[in-house]
Amino acid sequence: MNFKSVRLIDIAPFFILLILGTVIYISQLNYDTWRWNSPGKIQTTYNEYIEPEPLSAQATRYASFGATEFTADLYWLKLIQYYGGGDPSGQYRKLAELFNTVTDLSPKFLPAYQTGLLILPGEGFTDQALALSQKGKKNLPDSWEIPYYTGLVKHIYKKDYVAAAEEFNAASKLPGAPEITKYFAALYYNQADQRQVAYALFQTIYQTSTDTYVKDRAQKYLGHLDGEFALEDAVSTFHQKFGRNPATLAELVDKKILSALPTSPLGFEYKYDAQTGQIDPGK
Amino acid sequence: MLELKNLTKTFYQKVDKVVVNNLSLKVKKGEVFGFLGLNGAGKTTTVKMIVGLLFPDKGSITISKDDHLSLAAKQRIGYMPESPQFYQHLTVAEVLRFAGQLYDLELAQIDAKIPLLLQQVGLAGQENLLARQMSKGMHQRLAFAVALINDPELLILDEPLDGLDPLGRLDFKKLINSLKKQGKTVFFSTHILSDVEEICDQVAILDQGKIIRQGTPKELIGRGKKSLEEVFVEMVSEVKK
Amino acid sequence: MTPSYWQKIGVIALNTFRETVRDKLLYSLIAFAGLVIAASLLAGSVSLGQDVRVINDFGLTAMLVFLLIITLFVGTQLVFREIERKTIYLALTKPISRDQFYLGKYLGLCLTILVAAVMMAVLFLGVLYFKTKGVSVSAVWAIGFLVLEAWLLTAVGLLFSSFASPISSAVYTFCLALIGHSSTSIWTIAQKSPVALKGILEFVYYVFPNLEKFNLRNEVVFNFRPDAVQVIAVLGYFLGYTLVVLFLGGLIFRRDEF
Repeated sequence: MNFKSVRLIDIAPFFILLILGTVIYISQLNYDTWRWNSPGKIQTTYNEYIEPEPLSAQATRYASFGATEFTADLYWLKLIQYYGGGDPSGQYRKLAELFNTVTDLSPKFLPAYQTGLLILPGEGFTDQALALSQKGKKNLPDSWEIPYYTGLVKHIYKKDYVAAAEEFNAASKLPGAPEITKYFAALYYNQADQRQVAYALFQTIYQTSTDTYVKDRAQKYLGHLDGEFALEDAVSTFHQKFGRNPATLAELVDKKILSALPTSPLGFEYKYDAQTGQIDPGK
Repeated sequence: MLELKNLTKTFYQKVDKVVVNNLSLKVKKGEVFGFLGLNGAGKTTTVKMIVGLLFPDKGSITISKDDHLSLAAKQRIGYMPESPQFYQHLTVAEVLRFAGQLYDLELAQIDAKIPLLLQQVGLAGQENLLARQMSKGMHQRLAFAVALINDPELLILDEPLDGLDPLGRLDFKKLINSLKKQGKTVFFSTHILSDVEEICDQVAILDQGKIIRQGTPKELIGRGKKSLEEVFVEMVSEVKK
Repeated sequence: MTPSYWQKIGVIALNTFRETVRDKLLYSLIAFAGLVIAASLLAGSVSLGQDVRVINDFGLTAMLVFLLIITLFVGTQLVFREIERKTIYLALTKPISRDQFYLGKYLGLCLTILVAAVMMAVLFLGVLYFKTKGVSVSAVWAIGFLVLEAWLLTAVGLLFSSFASPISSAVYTFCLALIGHSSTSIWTIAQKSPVALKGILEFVYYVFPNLEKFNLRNEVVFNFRPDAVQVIAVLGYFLGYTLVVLFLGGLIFRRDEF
């Protein structure tokens, strides 16, 4: 290219374009700044947090023209942005609705149920999480994860140990469930004062488990429960014989009801309430 | 060779127009037949009916006693349309191969013919030229080559000399004469009268869908007239009165 | 029908393919499809570990959309352009029937769509392989069914283009594609509707092409593979419906004048 032969008129269009481009950029910047700093009357929703308004699942399904999984993905991404982006009010009012829309469009989208069960209760939507769980169990009956996560929700947020135990028990029967799920079920039954059920579960675990750790723990729990039952029986016998509860557990040995006090293989100390005659299994 | 009997064609639009009106003619084997008329006389419509692009409302068209729409009849024809167009992304050779294969010719046969054909029509060496790179005159030449690809007995040419320069027109006229010597029948429509005078054995003059006069150029010119053009203008003016 | 009969159809088909494949529009569309498929990697990265699912859904939906666009832009314009440019004279005046020409055009378009689908599939499966280090057989099945769907819509587009303008043909074909994919919803609404409306909706369900049959995209993420019965049923439906549409289009085309 011969630069000496380049005339001003040849390069003028490029300079004009550059100047126009700069003008456009500066005007846009000015406009944006004005909008950001304008009083409330002028700006409408520019600075306001825009809450998502998902269509009903039925409407979305009709509007997706067969691309239901794709639409579910779009809503999933929307959900992530919504929850991750931060609601200034901290309320996330649309969270449950979004999870519902995603799972209505994609009923077999397991991670959606899992994530919903993890997130929703923490934001105060425990009942909605449990409703999501019901839907998940219906659509994915073979998924052990859903009852498993539901068990956690019932334990932590509802403090319903029996219900939690039932969930873990149900989960443990489903294909692919980790061995420890059954163990958790037994633990929760025990926690819920359902010791007979817990005992039976621990026995099954001990007999059937191939996991060394789980088997060992089950055996120890059985030993612990055996000790508890033995002490309760001894207190009852003492009461029948002497018309009162023993003052201490040692009295059971003194009065020759027991040859020796049982010790918990778990290392827990059995505590005794003389007034009620109840054995506290200890922690 | 080619016989049109009582051919009628009406275009049904806002106002119905009879474009070809009870037209009959015969073209003998080995003849060069000129089909003359002003713009809008019905020449192209007649030609399109012969090659099956339009369907006559009444009448019949036969080519060596076969119906014009039969495959046997189409196998005998080479057609050159008015203002021919080709697929933009094909080369000259590809267009000829395409046309030739539709005549059941083998690719080797077609490839062997291409150089000679292109030389005949004045496109020698242009095998790889893309259709979109060709001028109007080149389109005419290629269309003529396409019409000749199957060595047809009957050539139907619609305004073949349109868009050609004087040299091109001379070449085409020479080519038509050589085809005639080979025993081929040529039926061509035109509004350029001087060309018709030079090469045609028979001429039919068409006006408003009807043949107003037919004969040899000499018969049509008759005594006392200088050219076919004078005769033509006179005839057409008479009809308009 | 002699070998020569089919050979001539092949000549028309190859010529159509050559003409469409040399059109820059096709490559622009494939390039855009490639961009969208590549963009699914980005979407996948913000999907909380669901990237394979997102890539599958986005990629397959992009392929459907772009194949539909190719059908609409290329297929519906094909015959109209030939008539407008008079290139149709080149073929129809030769010893070839209108049916052969029409079928040849259709097959040529099908070949174009197949090539476009293969190019997009290579991009899509390449992205999937990059993520999963494996080939998803379910995705390949879904793409195969997608191609069948595009071929059926091509026949529909060709039918419309034999009597309507290119824009009208494109709009009609697009509407038919939407109705076809709403077939499940139409059936559901029909069952809940009063008798008269139910009749109309069921008529629509059976007469309009049921494109949901060809939709395996929703099942790919669950590694679904169709069984033999399903494949035969879908192939049967495709052949039956396409042949009917081609027959109707051919009937109209036989009487077209140029």
